[in-house]
Amino acid sequence: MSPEMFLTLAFLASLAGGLLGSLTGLGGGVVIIPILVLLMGVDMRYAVGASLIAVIATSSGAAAAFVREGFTNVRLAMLLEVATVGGAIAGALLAASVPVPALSVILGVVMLWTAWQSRGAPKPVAANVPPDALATKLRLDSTYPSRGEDGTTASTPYHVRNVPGGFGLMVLAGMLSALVGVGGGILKVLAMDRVMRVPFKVSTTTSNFMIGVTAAASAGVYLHRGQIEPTIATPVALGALAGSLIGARLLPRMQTKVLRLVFAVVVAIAGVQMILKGVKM
Amino acid sequence: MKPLRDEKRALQDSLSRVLTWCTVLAGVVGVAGVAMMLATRGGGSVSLKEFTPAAEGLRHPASILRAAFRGEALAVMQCAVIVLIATPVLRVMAAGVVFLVERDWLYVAMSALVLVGLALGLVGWVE
Repeated sequence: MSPEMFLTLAFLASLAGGLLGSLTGLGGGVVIIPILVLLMGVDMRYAVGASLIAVIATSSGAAAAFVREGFTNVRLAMLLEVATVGGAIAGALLAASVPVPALSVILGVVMLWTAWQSRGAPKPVAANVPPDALATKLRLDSTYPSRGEDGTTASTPYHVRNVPGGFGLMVLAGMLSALVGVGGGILKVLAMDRVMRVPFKVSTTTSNFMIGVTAAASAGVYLHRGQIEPTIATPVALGALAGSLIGARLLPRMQTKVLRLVFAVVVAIAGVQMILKGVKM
Repeated sequence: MKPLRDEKRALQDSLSRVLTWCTVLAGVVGVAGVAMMLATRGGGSVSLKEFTPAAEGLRHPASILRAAFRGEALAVMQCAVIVLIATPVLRVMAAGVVFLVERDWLYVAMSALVLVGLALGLVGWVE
């Protein structure tokens, strides 16, 4: 393949990945890796390294806008990142004693079920439920720009629920991403959306903020192993950056309903890949 | 303690600024590297079907920087990657500093914990 062709394909693949990744808070690796490996014939190890860089690029590119506009809950991100890092360390310690292929298949099935479940919004919390005491103490309750039926945007307050439940799920998310490599982003969004009952756009943008931090923690190892090859990693990073900037412009205007569907589709793709990966191991 | 609204604004603005500058820098360096690669490489073909670990000089931040300053295209491209890897670290630091200014000690501690976790992961490359 000519260098121009190669760079262009890598850029376009990651443009799509960055766009979907920034909207869903999942990073976009599930889109980038198959295109690089199956379409462009790139070795899996390079593809994984490049995808990790794409996740960081997506997270950084979109986060600037999401944070500025007030979607991202930075306190919540920091609290949950502590849980993820703790879980990741536990996962790394457990790696030798866990049957990873079986875990991949189970996780893949859980993802497919999750995709099916997350098509629609969860039942709203009854209005008379008092705010969560722990969330108040941790100052997690915040506001976000929500878009009304008439297209106008208003700063809408929300409460964060079930902090221990969300924290626990994030410890698990950290463990699983250390054990099977992916899936962290999905559990991050689920923990916030389903367990902590945070508005969906806050969940995806806060996850988007966190995945860059989680990915950076493992980037050092990949760089050292020589899996970050600039010929592929740099065009992929540039594409993901561009895609994430488009995503950041789209998200505020998007209907939550549509965003949930996009999320469900990306999770389903991730689930199928996870099952195939487990079966092949 | 300041009211939550002002605090949220301050946190948003400083974080957003750090993120914007880092991504702009990564983008500019990356595009420059790709342009240099295309200019120096001319024809030829690219294939990454076989895995051979990236050159030793492209695996450590210090050697990447040195080679980039010598004008090696691949090292300049890799520099963009290094800037990107550094972005989340700076992001956590910036949040930590804002929490420090607000004297929100609990969140200062959390930011510090996350930084330690990041450092442990990044030190992995010294293996």
